[in-house]
Amino acid sequence: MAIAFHRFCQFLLIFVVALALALFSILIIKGIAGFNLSFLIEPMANAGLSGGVRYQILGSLILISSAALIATPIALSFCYCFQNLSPFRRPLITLLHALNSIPSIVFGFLAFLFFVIYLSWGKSWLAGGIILAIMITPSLSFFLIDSLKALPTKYTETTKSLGLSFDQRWWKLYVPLLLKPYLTGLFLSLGRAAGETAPILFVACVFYGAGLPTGIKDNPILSLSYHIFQLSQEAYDPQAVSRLWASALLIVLIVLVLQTPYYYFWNKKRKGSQHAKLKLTD
Amino acid sequence: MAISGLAKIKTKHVLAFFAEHRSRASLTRLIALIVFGSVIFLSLGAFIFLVWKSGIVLRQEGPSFFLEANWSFRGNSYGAKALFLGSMITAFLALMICAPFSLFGAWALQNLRSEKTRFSIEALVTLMASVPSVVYGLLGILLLRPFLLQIFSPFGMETGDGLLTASLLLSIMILPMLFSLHLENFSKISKKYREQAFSLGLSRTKFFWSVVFPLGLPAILSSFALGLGRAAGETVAVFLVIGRLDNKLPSEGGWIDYLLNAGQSMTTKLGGPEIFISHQSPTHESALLLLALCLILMSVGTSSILLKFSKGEA
Amino acid sequence: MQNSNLPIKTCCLRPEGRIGSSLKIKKLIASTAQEHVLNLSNLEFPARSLTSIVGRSGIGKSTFLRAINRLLEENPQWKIEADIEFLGMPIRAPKISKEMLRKCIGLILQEPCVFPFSIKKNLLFGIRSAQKLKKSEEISLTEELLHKVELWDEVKNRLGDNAEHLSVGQKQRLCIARSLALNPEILLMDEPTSSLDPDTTFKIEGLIQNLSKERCIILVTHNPEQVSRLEGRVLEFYRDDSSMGTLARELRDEKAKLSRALTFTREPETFITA
Repeated sequence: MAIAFHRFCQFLLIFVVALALALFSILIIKGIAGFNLSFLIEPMANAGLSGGVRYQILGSLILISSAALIATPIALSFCYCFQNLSPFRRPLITLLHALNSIPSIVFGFLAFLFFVIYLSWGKSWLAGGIILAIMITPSLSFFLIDSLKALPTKYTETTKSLGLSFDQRWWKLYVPLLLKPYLTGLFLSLGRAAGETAPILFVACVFYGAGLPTGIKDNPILSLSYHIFQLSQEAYDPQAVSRLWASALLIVLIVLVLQTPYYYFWNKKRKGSQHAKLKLTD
Repeated sequence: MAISGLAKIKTKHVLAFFAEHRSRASLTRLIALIVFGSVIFLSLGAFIFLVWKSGIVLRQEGPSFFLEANWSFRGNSYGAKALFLGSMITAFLALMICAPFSLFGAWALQNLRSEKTRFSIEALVTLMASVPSVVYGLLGILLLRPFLLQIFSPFGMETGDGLLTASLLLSIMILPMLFSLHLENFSKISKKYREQAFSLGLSRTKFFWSVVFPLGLPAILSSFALGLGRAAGETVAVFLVIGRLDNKLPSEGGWIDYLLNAGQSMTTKLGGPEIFISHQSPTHESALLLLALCLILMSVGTSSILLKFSKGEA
Repeated sequence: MQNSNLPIKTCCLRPEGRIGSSLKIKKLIASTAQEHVLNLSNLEFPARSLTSIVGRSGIGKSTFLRAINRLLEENPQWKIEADIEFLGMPIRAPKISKEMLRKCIGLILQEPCVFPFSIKKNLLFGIRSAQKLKKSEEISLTEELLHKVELWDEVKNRLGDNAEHLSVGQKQRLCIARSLALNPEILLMDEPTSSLDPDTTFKIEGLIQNLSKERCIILVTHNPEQVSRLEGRVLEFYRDDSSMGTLARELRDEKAKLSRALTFTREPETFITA
């Protein structure tokens, strides 16, 4: 009986692995067909049936860059408040967890009401950047707070003994030391943001007709995720289908490239901590 | 006397320039507080706005918002029962389908002897988790839908879009997340008790059912709750395969017909074209806002229960 | 450093101007929720002196040091009643900020703590946040400090290198130099040579002896030979059955100094309390 259960578990595992492999194989095989240089460089033509995805890629890049620029000071402020203002810790963490758990479409809907209707911005790339920033801020803040906790306590003790105030410690010690871990965490979140469609659905994206933005109001932007979303709803034309696969492969590649540094360092840290655990017993 | 005179000079001198560096105020602190304050202010404001505006549709519909399935913005009626049912059913079904694979698959991986294979599979599953939901939606439309249509059309499936398709797609989407969580859980417990258990002669299976599963149950359940929340909140992928047909209930044609054919969920309603026209009618807008509020309450409620639970654990 | 003309504003006192007592502990009672730890009274530490503190492990020597530079009170577990005077001023006076006090009282830890920055940046870390120095001032201060701790020849060509690549002994000397940059009145040292090899230990003991001619040094140590090598007062921290916490007494006897550093006995002996 014990063996039967074990075999059963292994069978399920094989199924999961097969599923994952199948997923990536299909993506690669079907996507690579339409994947060539002109696909990446050309602008879209013929409502997606031909041409490339140049402005979609640029649009996604603009969205995540503006999200990064907006989210970083907010996440840093949260981390600063967490460290320096201890009575505010509980409400801060509660707020961050709450924001983190809200479905992305709710953000999209509220952003629509605020930016498009209330502020009359029309569709705007900046609104998309702002809403993406709000979405990634909680996980970025958690990441910063955990990285700060992971710093050796003797650093804090030593700098305090040298007579540095919290602000001085913050700018001269914590921020320089947190820079590298923060960047990896940032790229992880940006990878997630690059794949998001729901938040920018109403406030920033159109399917065609937008190039690079020239202002803030009424300046929508193209995005790779929205492109796939719209195109897949009209997936009857075989030409569209081949471009769909290529776009899907492209977006997965972009997300993977953005997230690789995090997984590389996370793995090194995991291996490193195992070594450290061994060292302590020597 | 001379000494005490010198001592006095010392004290004054030192005091004077100690007093220079007193202030605790700083620009950084101010900016951080402003940012923190504005985020709190905005969040609270958004929440109050939601609650305030939702009142309109509640006044019109009352409890039938939750109990009736007659959503029609043209007809000014907003019974969202079908939406709630759709969300809950797809999420639960997704969890039920995914649970054995994630749970037992993770256990099988934990028992794998080869470190390399284990690492590769872990990496593969993590990669799978990074795939954006819109790509899953695409896979759903282009692959899952025709596949299910082939199988289920003798049972009454018409287009391939439906709640079952959505549930299956969701289960694939939450699988990597649940898998990693269970793996981490099993790894922790296994490391602690493995040697003892095996030297007592327990088989791996007995070890699982007597030690790992009971001890890991709280974490397993909270992982499931997380997965459920994720599935309920997913929009884009579900949008593409659910069919988006309003007001379908299992009571009309039976459960099979309900699952196999098109339906609607809370998130897909909020992701649909109604958003663009909602501001023309305050009741319509209010109805959609109430839906959003319900989503928020569900997700925040789940996450705070999970938080309290895991804090109580640790 | 004695003849340094740098406008170091942090601790204003030149070595020649240091007289009287740097630190007067009228009362220091520190306790956690579980136990009373320190119960000291009437201890005086003169300027330009060296005091070694000995006692068994866990008796509260490190706690004592951290109570002086007000690091202890940052931990909410501790309840502290203290009447300590630094340069004739109570250290808890509202006029004095913790940061300023710590710039005048340096703390050297057992394990040297260097940051993953360059050697030069580590050295100037404390002083840079105290005052703005000109480039030329920084360069001469660096050279002067490194000469003082006998590190100049070893690192003069690689000041920009990462400080984590130094040996433990070099790191500890760097930490001492870093604290010295602030020209502190008192140097607190918590077993500074425990993690070092004998050669480096001798070097640093020599450095400490020299420093004690210009500053007040309070040194915690476990090493009886170190106690006998260093010239200065020896205080022993001990506990009675009836005492609520650790008391202190001065050891005058040479043999007692050697044996007490590692003592576990509780023989009642009459010693003159400082």
